[in-house]
This record gives sequence, C-alpha cells and structure tokens, in this order.
Amino acid sequence: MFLRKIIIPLFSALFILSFLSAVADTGRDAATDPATALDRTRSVEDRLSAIRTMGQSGDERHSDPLLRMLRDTGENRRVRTGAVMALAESDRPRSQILEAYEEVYRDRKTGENLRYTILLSIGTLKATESQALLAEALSGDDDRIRFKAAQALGMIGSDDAVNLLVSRFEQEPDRMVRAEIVRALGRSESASVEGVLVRVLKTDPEPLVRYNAALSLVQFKSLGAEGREALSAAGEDPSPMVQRVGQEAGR
Amino acid sequence: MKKTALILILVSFVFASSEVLALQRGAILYHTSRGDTIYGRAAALELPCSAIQLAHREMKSGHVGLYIVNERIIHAVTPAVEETASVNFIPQSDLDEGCRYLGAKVPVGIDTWPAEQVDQLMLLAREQVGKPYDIQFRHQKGPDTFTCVGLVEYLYEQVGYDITPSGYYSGGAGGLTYTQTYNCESSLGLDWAGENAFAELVEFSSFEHPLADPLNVGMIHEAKRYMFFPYTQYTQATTVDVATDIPVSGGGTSGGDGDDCFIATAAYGTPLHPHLGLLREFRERYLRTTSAGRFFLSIYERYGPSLAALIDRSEILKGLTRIALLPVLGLCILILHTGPLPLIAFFVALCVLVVYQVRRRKSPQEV
Repeated sequence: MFLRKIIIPLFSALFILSFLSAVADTGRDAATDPATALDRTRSVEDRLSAIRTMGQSGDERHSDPLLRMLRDTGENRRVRTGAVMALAESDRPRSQILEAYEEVYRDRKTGENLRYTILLSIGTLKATESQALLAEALSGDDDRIRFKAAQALGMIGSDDAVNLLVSRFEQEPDRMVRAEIVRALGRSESASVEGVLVRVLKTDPEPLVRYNAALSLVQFKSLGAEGREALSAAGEDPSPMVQRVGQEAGR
Repeated sequence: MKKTALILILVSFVFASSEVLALQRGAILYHTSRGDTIYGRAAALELPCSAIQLAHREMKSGHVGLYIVNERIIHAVTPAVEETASVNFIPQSDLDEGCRYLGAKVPVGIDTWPAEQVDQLMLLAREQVGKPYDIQFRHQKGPDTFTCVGLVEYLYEQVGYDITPSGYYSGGAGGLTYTQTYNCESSLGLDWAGENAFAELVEFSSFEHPLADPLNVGMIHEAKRYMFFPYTQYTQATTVDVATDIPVSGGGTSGGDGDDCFIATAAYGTPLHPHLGLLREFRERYLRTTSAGRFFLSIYERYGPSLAALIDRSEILKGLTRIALLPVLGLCILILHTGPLPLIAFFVALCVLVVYQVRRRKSPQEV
C-alpha cells in the first residue's frame, strides 16, 4: 500500500522531473552562440566564450547582437568588453562598429577599462576614420587615456597619426605618456620620425623617454647616418639602460 | 581638559597606529584558487577539478597580479587585461569559497635596478591593458593574448629578467623549451586523477586531461600539451617574499572601472572628471592606508551605491552634491600637498572647540 501510493509515484515524479531538466539542459547547451551571449541567466564566462566564438566566426549576422550588448549600459562590464574585442575581430560592418565604439567611449558613464579596450581596438582595426576621437583622447585630462590613445595612434601609423603624436609630444607633461608616444612613433618607421627620435634621444631629460627612443631607433630597418650616430653616442648616456642599448647597437 | 587630552590621544593613535606597509612597484601578488589550491601546492591529491571546471576555465591554478602604485594592480582576467584597485585582486566570491592570499614577491635584487628599468616595466604593463585573455592557454605569454601568470612572465622578460629561467618556454624563434614535466594521467572518466606524487611535485607543466583535446587547451609540443601555472612561477628562486599588508580583497565584483567613487561619479556624471582623480588619490593614500579610513570606506561602500543611484536620478541633487563636495575637495588638496598634519590640526581644533563650547554652556548652570 505504502509502496504503491507513495514510493512509486514519488520516484516516478522524480524520474520525470530529472528527465525534463536534462532535456532543458541539453536545450541550453545546444543554444546558438548569440542566444548564449545574450542570455543573462548564463554565467559571464559562458557568455564571454560565446561572444569570442561569434567574433572569430566573422559572420556578419553576429554583429547586431554584439553591438546591442556593447551599447547596453545595463549590461555586465566584462560582457561589454568582450563585445568590443569580438567586434574588432570580425571587423564587419566597420562603420557601424566604429560608430558604436565612439558612442560608448563618449558616454560619460563608461568606465576606464572599457574605454582602454575601445581605444586599443580602434588601433587594432587601424581605423583612420576614428583618428579624430583618438586626437581628442590624446589631449584629454586623464594620462592613462592619453597613453592608450598614443598607443592606438602608433598602431594606425598613418601620416596624420604621426603628426598628431609629434605635436602632442611637445606639450605632454606625463613622462609615461611621452615614452609611449616615442614608442608609438617608432612603430611607424617613417623618415620624418627618425629625426624626432634622434632629437629625443639626444636631449630629453627623462631616461625612460630616451631609453624608448633608443629602442625605437634600434628597431628601424633602414637607419640613417644621424640615427646611427645618435645611437653610438647613447653608449655614453648617463642612464645605464640607455647606455646598454647604445653599446649593443654599436656591436 | 581631561576629555580634550583623551580625544587628542585617540586621534593621534588612529593616525599613528594604522600605517599600511607600502609595497614597491613591480611586486607580484599571488593567491590560491577556490578551494585553497594553486596546482601542485595542495597537501593531498585533488580530484575536484572536473572536466566541467576545465570547460568553464575554472582551473584551480590560483591567480597572479602585478602591483603598480597607489594600491593599483594590472592583471590578466577574462576577457581582457585590466588595471584596477588592489582590493579587486581577490574577488569576494573566491574568498567565500576558500581562496587564500599567498603574499607578494619581488625579483632578487630589484632594489639595485635603475629607476627607468622599473619605469619600463610599468609602461609595458600599461601597454597590455585591454588585450585579450588567452582562454585556451595557447599563447599565455603574449604578445597579443595573456593569462595572469604569462603576463607577469612576459613583462619581466621584456625588461631583461627571466623569472622562470629553466622552465616553461623562454620565447625566441623556435626556442620553446619544456623542462618541467608533470603528467596528470586521466582516468575515472571526467576527473583529474594521477599519482599522489602530484602534490609533491613542484615542477610541472605538461598535463593530460580527457577534455584537453576537444577544447584544444594548452600548447602542443611533441604530442604533449603544456600549460604554465602560477605555482611554477611562485616557487622560483628568482623571486623573494616581501612583507606588505596592502588590501587585496574586499572590492566586491572585479570592477576596477574607477566608478567606486559612487557619489562623486553620480554628481559629476562621469568617472573621468578631474576632481574624481583627486578624490581617488586621497582615498588610496590616506583612507585605504589607515584603519579609520578603511572603516569609513566600508560604510561608504555599503551605502554609497544606493545614495549615488538617488543622486543620479536628479539634476538638483547632482548640483547640490557637487557644491557639498567642494570643501571636501579643498581638504583633499590641502592634505595631498601638505601631508596629514593639517587634518590632525583641524580635528584637534574641532575637538577643542567642542569641549570649550560644552564647558561654556555648563558654567552658568554651575554658578
């Protein structure tokens, strides 16, 4: 009696329930990447994994959900950061991506790490279209933002980007940003940059800045006589780090 | 007078007794993972790192971060390398599940390095912020993707210091070396399982796991899969322990977006307003480094967000808050430029004034 009325129905109910939950789980696992990425009941790690796959697929249909996540200010910050990187990887549709980047960057409530990722992604995309935004960031109040803007401009490496970096260098008060500008200039390897780097190596008061100027010059594929001479003189620099670069270049 | 003296002593005690041990730039912070493990360090064989955990990238491998300055760190987390307050180094959820802080280490002889060498480390660390986390552990040491341990290894190698000279891979064209070996044999279905020697072995990087192939995790070398674990780096003789008690947890979520100045951010409408930089600097230098300051912050962090949400909804409240913040900003500028003495003098003067007023009010009644 007890077995028939209680135990068997109880076990049957449990069996059906576990079967249903397994089916539901399978359904969740089989969900498409965009569905997983947008599903806020999922863990952030699962969503990030799906977002990454979406970016790697290069499928333009994925850009809509990615753009939606990026623009959603109520969305988890890590998810938004993941969307920024996935969009940079897919690179399509470029104008919409850059528009969304700019919109989110300009949102005053956007946090600093998300801004850094946006600036870096603009650099990754070599988006000359967004140079105005980078120019603005390069002259902003926050030295870390200026640093990232310099890095992104260096990745773009266009003539305009180089000009922006050179003119900013003259007025930049922060030595970390100055050093990053020098590194960014070094990446562009244009002939006009060599002269700037030589001047920095010879005259800048900051050892960190001179060190990076020397490192940049060393990496030039075709270095002019002026550059070689400056590197040779760097062997006598008061900074041991600059000295080392100069001496190694001399060998 | 006795009361005044007592208050004076209390104020002095609060400021004098609660200095945090400063930490030098470039120090490396370590913590264990959930369950107090940092692979190879566990006291006994561990089985709970299941395939599901591997699939969810919850490897029990602990975490590593690089100390920058003013209680800020740079560390590689999913989805990207970030710069954040040191309180975000150990998320509360990990602490709740048995994670433990292992302390800070620095390279041997870092004190003799030229200042620009450490500056260069800081510069390179800042350059990596925003780069993707390597969730497949295939390019842990960059230069385009990183894991927490790979990031620190990469940065130090870039300034000429190899923390793991005989281990993992040293980079260079075709110069991959795998001198550390540990084989975690797979059996019993989905769980990690191996010999008990697992716990005693210090050097390991090679691993086997039922899901490693399907997930394509780790670097492949001569048909073996390798990963670089924090413990491998943690045990190197190339670094030494340094004493510090900077706050490494209690930041709640792994935020780090600078919006922890809730009220001021709401008032100014942006986390990037220059006044916020001032308030943050004051917080990092004077509030986080004193017990009284930390007590204030704990209350602020509890009630600040709801107050900030309220301010955020009203333009009038925003304006009023900005006005109310002015004297606070003035005090911050004063202290940041002249040290904490004016603050102490201010408190003492306030206490004396209060006591004087109380005594003055009492005097006529007594007469």
